[in-house]
Amino acid sequence: MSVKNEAVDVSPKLETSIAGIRFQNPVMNASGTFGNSGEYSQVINLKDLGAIVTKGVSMVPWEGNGTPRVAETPSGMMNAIGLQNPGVEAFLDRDLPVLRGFGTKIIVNICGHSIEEYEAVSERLSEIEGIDMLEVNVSCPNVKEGGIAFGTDPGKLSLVTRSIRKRTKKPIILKLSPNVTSIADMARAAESEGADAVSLINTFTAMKIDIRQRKFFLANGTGGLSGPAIHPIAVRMVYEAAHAVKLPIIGMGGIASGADAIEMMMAGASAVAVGMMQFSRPSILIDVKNQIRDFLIDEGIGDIREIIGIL
Amino acid sequence: MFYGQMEIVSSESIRKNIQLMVLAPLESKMEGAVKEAGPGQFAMLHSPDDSRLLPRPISIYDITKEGFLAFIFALKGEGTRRLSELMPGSRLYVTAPLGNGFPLEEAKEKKRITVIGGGLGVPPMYFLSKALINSGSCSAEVPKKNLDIVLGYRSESELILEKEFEGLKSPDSLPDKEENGTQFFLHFASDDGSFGSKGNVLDLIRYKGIESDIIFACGPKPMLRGIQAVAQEKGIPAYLSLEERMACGVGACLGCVVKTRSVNEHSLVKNVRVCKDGPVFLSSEVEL
Repeated sequence: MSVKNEAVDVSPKLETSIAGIRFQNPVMNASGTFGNSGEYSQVINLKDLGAIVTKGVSMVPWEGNGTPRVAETPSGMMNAIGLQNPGVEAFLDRDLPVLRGFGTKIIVNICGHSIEEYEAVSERLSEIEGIDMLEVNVSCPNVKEGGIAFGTDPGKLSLVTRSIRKRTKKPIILKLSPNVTSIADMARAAESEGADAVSLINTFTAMKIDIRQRKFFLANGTGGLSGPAIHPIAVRMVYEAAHAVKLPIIGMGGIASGADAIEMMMAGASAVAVGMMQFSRPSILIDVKNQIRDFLIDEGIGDIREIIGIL
Repeated sequence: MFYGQMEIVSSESIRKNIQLMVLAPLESKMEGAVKEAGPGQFAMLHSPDDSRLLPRPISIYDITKEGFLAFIFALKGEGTRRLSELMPGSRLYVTAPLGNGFPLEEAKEKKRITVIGGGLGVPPMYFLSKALINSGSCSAEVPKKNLDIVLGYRSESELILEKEFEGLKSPDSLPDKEENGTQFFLHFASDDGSFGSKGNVLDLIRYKGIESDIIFACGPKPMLRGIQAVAQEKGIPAYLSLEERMACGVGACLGCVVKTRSVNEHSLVKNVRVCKDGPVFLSSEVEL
C-alpha cells in the first residue's frame, strides 16, 4: 500500500515562477485566443492552467477592425481583430470576477493607442486584487496607433516600459513583436527600464490576397500570422532573447504539443503560452501540460526547472 | 457546448461540390450535444489535417431518428474539401452545439410564419421547418397556423433538399399535422426560372402575396438585406441567420463580428459575435 503512495511522489514538479509569482505549471493561454470570461470552461477545467491571460484591455471600449478578421493559412492563421474590447471598467465589473472564480493566476494583457492610455490602464489595475501580473501589448500588428509602433523601436519600447513601470505595483511583462531585426535589442530595452519579464513572440505581420476578387483577404489588409507555421522562428527568438537578458521569458508561437513546449523551455522560456491551437483543439492546454509531465517522467527529470534554458 | 469525438456514419456528394455528412456520437457527452442541438445552431468540425487547423463552422441540417447529427456543406476551399474526403468510419472532433439558434418561442403566438432559405442557407431551414411543424406550436390563442416555406436557388442544377422538404408533407414525417393545426405551404423560386417561380424569394413572396407575422431566414447577404427591408417596412420581426469567417466558434476570439445599429451591451461597441451572440439576429438590430 505504501508503494502506491511513493509512486505518486515521483510525479515531476511542474511548478515554475516568473518575477516571484509562482505558477502551478508552466502552461497558459496566449492573450486573445481564450476570451475573457471562461469561454472554454465547458471543455477544460481552468483551475488546472498555470495562468489565464486575458484579451487586451484598454482604457475605453475599442471597436476593432472590419471583417473578415481571420483567415486560415497553411499550418496557421492570420488575424486582424484590432483589439476589440469593452474597456477596463467593464473588464473589472464583469470579467475579472468570473476569471477569479477559476482559482488560478491571472495575467491581464493591456493595450493603448498612446503612452497616456497605457499609463492610465496600468494605473487603474495597479491595486486591483486578484490580478497577478500585467502583460503589456506593444506588439499588436493590427492597430494603427500604439500597439506595434511601440514594440518595433527599442527607444519607444524603453519609453513605454518606463512609463508603465512608474504607474503600477504589479509585475509587468512586455510582450515583444517578432517584426524586428534584433529581438535581443528589444528584450534589453524592456529589461533596462524595469520590466519583470518578457513574453514572445506575438504574430508576424502578414498578407493574404483573394486572387479571384483581386483584393486583400482581411478587411485590414494585413494581419498577424500565428500557429505551428511560425513555431521554429519563435524558438529561435526565445533563444536569442534568453541569451540577451536575465529576465524570465514566457515563450509562445505555434505551440501544438508538449514537445513544442519543452523545446521552447529548453531555448530559455520559464513558461509557455498556447495561442492559435486553442481553436484547433479546445482541450490543448491540458493536453500540453500532460505531455510535458509525460516527457519529464520518460526522461527521468524530477523538476521542470531543470530544463529551462539548457541550450 | 460539448467537445468530443464523433464517427462519420456516411458522407456523400449530393450535388457537385455539396457534401452531406452524418456523424454519430462516440462519447456519451456527444449524445448530450445531440440532445441539446436546436434549429439554427451549428457545430465546429475539427479537421484531422495538420495543415488546415481551423475548425469549420457548419450549420446543423438535421438530427436523424438514430440520434445522429447531419450536415450539408459546400466544398469552398481546402478545409471543406479535405473534410469531404474523410471516409465513413473515420473519427473527428466536433464542438457542438454552438450559437443561439432560431427562437422557436417567438413563433408561438404568431399566425403566419414564413421560413426562407436561399442556396446554401436552405439546409438549416429544414431542421427549423421540421421543428415548427412538429413542435405543436399552436396554442389555445392561435389554434390554426400558416407556415410558408420559401426556398430559392440560382437554377435547377443547384437544387438541394427539395425532395426532403416535400417529404415533410408526408404523414411519416408529420405525425401530428392534423392535431397541431399547422397548414404548410412549400414554394420554390429560381433566378433563371428553371425550377419553380422565376426570380428570387422576395419576388415570389410579392407575386404570391404571402403575408407574414414573423420571418425566419438564412441565405446570401443580398437576400437577407432584402428581407431586412421588407421586415422594416411591414414592422414584423425577421430572424436572420448570418455567416462570417470564424476561428474559435465559442465567442473567445472576436473574429466573426457583425455591426449592430446601436451599442451592444456586452461588447460596449457596435459589434456582436456571430458565433456566440448569433448566428441568428433580429434584422432590426444588425447592419448587413
